[in-house]
Amino acid sequence: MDNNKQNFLANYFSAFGVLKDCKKSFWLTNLIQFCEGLGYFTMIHVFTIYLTRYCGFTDGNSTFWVGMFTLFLSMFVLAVGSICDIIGLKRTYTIGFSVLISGRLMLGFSNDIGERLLGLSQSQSVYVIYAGICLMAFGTAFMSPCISTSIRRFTTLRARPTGFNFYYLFMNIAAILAGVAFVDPLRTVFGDTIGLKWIINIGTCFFVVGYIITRFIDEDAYAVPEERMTKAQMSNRRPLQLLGEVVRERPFQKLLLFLLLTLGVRLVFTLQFLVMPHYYTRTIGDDFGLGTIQAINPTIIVLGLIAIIPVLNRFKTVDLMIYGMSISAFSLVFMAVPAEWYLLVPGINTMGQAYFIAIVTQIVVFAFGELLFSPRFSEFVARAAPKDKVASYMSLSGLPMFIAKPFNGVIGGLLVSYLCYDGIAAKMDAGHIGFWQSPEFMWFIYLFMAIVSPISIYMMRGVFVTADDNMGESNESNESNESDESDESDESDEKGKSTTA
Amino acid sequence: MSDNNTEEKTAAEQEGDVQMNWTAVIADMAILMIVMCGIGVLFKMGMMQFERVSPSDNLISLVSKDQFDDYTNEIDTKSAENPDYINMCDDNQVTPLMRVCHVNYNDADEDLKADKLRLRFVQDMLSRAGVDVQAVDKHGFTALHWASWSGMPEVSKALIHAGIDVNQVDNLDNTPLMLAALRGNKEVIALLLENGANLNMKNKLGKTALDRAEEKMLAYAKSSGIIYSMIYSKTRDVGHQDAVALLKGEVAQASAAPIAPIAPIAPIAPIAPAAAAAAAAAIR
Repeated sequence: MDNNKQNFLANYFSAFGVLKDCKKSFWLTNLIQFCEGLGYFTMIHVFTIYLTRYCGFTDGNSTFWVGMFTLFLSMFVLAVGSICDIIGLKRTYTIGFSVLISGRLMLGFSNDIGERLLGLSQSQSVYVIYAGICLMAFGTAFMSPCISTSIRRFTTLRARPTGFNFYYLFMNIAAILAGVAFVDPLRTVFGDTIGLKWIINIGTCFFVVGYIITRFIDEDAYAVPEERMTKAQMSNRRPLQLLGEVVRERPFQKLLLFLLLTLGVRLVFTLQFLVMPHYYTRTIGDDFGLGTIQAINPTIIVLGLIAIIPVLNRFKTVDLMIYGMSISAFSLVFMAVPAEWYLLVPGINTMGQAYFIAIVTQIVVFAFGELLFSPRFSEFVARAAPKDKVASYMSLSGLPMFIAKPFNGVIGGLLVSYLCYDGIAAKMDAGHIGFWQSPEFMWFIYLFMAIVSPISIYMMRGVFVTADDNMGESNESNESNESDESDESDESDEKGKSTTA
Repeated sequence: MSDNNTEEKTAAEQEGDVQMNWTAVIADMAILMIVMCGIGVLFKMGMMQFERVSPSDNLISLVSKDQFDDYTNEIDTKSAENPDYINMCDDNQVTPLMRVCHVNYNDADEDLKADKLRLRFVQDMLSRAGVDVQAVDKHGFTALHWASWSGMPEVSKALIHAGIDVNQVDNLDNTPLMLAALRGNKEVIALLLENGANLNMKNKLGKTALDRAEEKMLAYAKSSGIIYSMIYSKTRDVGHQDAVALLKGEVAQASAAPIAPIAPIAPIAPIAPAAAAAAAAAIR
């Protein structure tokens, strides 16, 4: 067993040996994405509670706007995907970081800009926040394609898959650090409400550092000079044109059906930053270690990357996706069962302990399901596409989620305001809250939505397995994911920043 | 030379192509954005009738940030628009005063810090004309129930001085003392007891404040392991123990109190010599 562990570790880390020949710009790119990741994750861990507690948003509005932020982000990623090839890396970084920093400053200093500078009331200064959110989404959308382009550009064909693995590993480490080293300590030092402002603004500082590092990149340092593209070769994707072309294709229709069926479970992925922060703080306490608990997921992803992914490559894509979806959906059971049931378990004595155990178990089980599902999801999309349209299919695979995100934001807000409102812990303690009024019922509803996905995919398995078999069972699509802009798939733009293939 | 010109021309054409396509991409994205956002906004508007909106969300945010001036501005502005703003409830009938009296921390020291910060907001609210101090929410909580559960002794004192009944029960017959007891808020317990809280009242489950405090103390003491390190607070643990000790002491004192003091024994009347001789003869 120990030998096996050592083998996993040795195999995983020895693969990074090929990166020793990479040029300075590759390492600088990783530093940039590390800074960008720190900035992004510091915000996303606390975004909804920042809007509610600091900015005075209602529960409904805070989740709606976070939902819209993720929608804008996905949409802009689709729009700016090819911009770095057209205007150059450095210029794209400059635009991206400038917009991102401006938006983030508007969000972080909304109070000061709106109320102090413009003399608006808090209820009026929400427009500064709306503008900040839109700008942030636009700026963030530049980062993912730009960083992926940089990594592709600065790695040789041999080092590229490892380069992307390193990128994902670094991204997850940024997610862990953001929670453990910034979110929790800042809330402890400055208080649970004022600390939120500091978290947002210190995250902005990371963007500034990231931007400074971009100035040292040599954008002409192509690792494979033949990949230098002329402008005529650049893909100028028109989303609607693409959609018009592929929508009549049988594989795309099949893919669209698959994407719609997986919506239930994929929405659960967004709950981690949409609903969970309110749930954690309102059931356990405002001083609960939000960052630490949010860091469990990327930690498991990092460990899984090292130990589990190599083993899983032996299994069929659709099977793994069904297992992964089932496990991810099933994870909600831990939060959906009445919390009192936990008191029957030896060692669980208070409701606080019951909620804590439910939360941690859900996170661990969910992360394991995510490990099985997410990498295979991108792979499946890439496989379903005809060879010359992989990038198009990958880009358009986000469309069902575009519609789902604002819906999820609205539904999430409603459920939180009804079943996980501020003060519910006191009412639960006093014995006023039955199952149908409890946060558990909220998770029961989400469980119901999520469980539809694995069941329906399982029932229609024949359709997708045939597609899978037709595409062949080789793992080359893993590589094609990386080279065909897998970063633009839906999972890459928000929570999915911490998942990988 | 002519080759160079051709190259430049081709490059320019290519540049032009790229720019033209880029504009088209933006146009497409704008259409997609409008459609998707439109769907989102329409859905949001459609669901607005079901949304729970609390009129005091902004106010509570200002209180949480400890922005007193902005808070008074907000309350003045809103009260000018709606004179009953100060009593406007959310869907659970929770008033702004109740919300200011509520915090939720694991660490009992945080409760006390919040108590100090919130006191001036509560005092300000209580000083405003028309504020309904006696209001109860959907579950029968008064502001004092909220403050007692939240562990805010200074705020509780202000509420008691404003006239809230310390023995008011909620829909399940929980008193503020019971809520303070189950959270181990010893300072609030002491305050409530000083102000006449009834120790012997039972809720609908038949539990007294001491029963609840003891249950919680025993359960909470088992949280100190490494598994629960994220939710365990030493101050809360000590608070539970002190709360039980305090309540037990009060109960003991109270149980001693009802026994009527023993009446001084009446002096025995001196026995008359004749009667004494008769009694002695009878014994013999």
